[in-house]
Amino acid sequence: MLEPVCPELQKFYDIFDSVDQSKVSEFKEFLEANAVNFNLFKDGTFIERSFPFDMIPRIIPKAEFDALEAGIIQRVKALNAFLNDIYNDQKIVNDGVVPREYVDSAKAFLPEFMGVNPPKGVRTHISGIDLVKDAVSGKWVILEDNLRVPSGVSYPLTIRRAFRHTYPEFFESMKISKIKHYGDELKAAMDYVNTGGLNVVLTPGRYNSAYYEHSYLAKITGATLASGDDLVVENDEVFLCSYDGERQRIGAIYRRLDDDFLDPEEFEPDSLIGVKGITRAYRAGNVAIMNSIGNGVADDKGIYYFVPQMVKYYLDEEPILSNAPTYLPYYEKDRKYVLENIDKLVIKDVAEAGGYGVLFGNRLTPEKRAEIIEMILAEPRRWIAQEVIEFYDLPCMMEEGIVPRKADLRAYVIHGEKVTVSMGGLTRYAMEEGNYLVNSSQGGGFKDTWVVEL
Amino acid sequence: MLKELVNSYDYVIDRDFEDGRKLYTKLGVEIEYKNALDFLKQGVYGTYGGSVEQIISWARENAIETRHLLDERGFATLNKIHNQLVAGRDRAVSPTNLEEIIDNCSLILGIFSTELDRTRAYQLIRFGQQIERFDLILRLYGEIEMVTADIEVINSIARQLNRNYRPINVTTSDISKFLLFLNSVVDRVIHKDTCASAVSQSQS
Repeated sequence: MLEPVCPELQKFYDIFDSVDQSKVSEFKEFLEANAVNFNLFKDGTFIERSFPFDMIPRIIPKAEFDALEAGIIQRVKALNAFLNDIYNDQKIVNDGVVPREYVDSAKAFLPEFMGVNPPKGVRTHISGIDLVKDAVSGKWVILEDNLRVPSGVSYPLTIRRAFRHTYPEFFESMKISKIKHYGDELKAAMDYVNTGGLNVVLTPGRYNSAYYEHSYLAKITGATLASGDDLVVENDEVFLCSYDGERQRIGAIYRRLDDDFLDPEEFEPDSLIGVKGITRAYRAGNVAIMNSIGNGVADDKGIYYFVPQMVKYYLDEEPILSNAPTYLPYYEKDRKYVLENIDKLVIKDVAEAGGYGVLFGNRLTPEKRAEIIEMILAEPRRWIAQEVIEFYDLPCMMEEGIVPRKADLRAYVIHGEKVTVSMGGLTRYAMEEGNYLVNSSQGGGFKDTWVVEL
Repeated sequence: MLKELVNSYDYVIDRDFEDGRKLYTKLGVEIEYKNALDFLKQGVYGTYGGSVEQIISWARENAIETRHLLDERGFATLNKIHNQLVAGRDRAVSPTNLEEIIDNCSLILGIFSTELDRTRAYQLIRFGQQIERFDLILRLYGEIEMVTADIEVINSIARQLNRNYRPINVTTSDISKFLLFLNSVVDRVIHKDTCASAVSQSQS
């Protein structure tokens, strides 16, 4: 179902119809020349491709976004508190709010980092919170928290620049919230936790799907873009080795690689993209790693279920935003419901991400259905089930004209001295009609998101 | 090199059909062509190492790796040249196409000269330009004297890039030795694997 046209979107259409239509190709050429890429690996082959984008932005009225912003900030504060607790006293577990088994069996929980505290107590420096707007209730619902290496923020920032270049008319006539401060805010967050030295964006390298973004973020923050072999750890301090043989101390690292590959000394020994000894420097408090090591325990799909309880537990507040209705087969009552209603539910493997491991019950063959039931019974902790949310479609300009496509919203949150939400975000849409999977790694496209005040 | 290609094309038309072959022989490449337009096609899309398409592709790869340091218009212009070359692979190449690329390359260098950090990034570009220029002159004309006067320019840029740089002097008249020597100048300025050597030192 298409989201009803709000007055702000109508204004967009009115302006769009009144300007020279040849600007559409000018706009596309701008993005093409700037190689706004999200690369893919398919069947072992590196495919460099432009990230498909749509001209029609998602428009969110400012008053609606303000409520979202408050809910997102609340959620990120609770998640940060959860991480600090879970790597220290584990009060929330001891008080029975989150079952111990859920923490201990979370794949990304790293007990070897118990008692290791990051600079200034910040762990969730950069978060991406995925939401959809429920077409039945009209409310925003949280689908997922991304607290490890959320990607995508560079795309709306780049497309906004393209819009401003090509269509100043929108910005002259509409009160569109600015997002260009993102680089300054990210830099401020890096400076806030910096232990003395350079800020670095650590990239796995040129062939990473989001390399464009790594380069972009280094540029807008003034940080140095480095790969693992540019850094060295000596006496538990991290240094950048520059081409002239000089070394400079590093105080904060915005790493764009997962924990598993971060340090061959601590994690995956065969990692060629990490920095040997970096976790020693982190443990010694000599470098801030953004986001912190071990954050994955908090964005585990099973732990997601408990986030509303975390808000109450740590902040003593009622959650402003809701989760999608979720069932944990771990609990007998939920398991019974899931097994009886599997055809109506979405089943998710908690160990997967990026749209992988998501199964729609109504599309399962009898054999696959039986197989999934067997797996749920064997490993209930590994699965969650959610009601299918009929989230809104958004209008997308495709070759066949303006067509409806399912779309979500990733809101970007920076946690430095304070917690701020970027006044926009990445709207991702599915390329095919009726497809609920909008993830970039599933071939989805993106739109800019405009927060507009009438 | 693009200018040499366009000049040679003019000879191949009706003055000296072998001129294109002679040009590429100096660069150590054997090429075959049927006529002047085919010569251009070979120059741009030939399968040997160092065709225009390949050089632009390498330049683009370097620009992608260093994009955070580059001016966006410079990057976009280079990317556009690359995209146009890829899109035109099945079409005939005209000298006008090459002249457009030459103009765009000049534009990129102009943008870099005004927009890049003058203490490091722009000096690295100038350093690379000088080395490439020497290399091409020596290969095409074979006279060391044509570059010796500019050696001090290289020394001066290199000193700005690396304070430990030791200046070079020309002591040979052998072109191939000089070309090897020229590559070693790059190693004096840019230390490769500095982290790897740091790790081995700290472990020993």
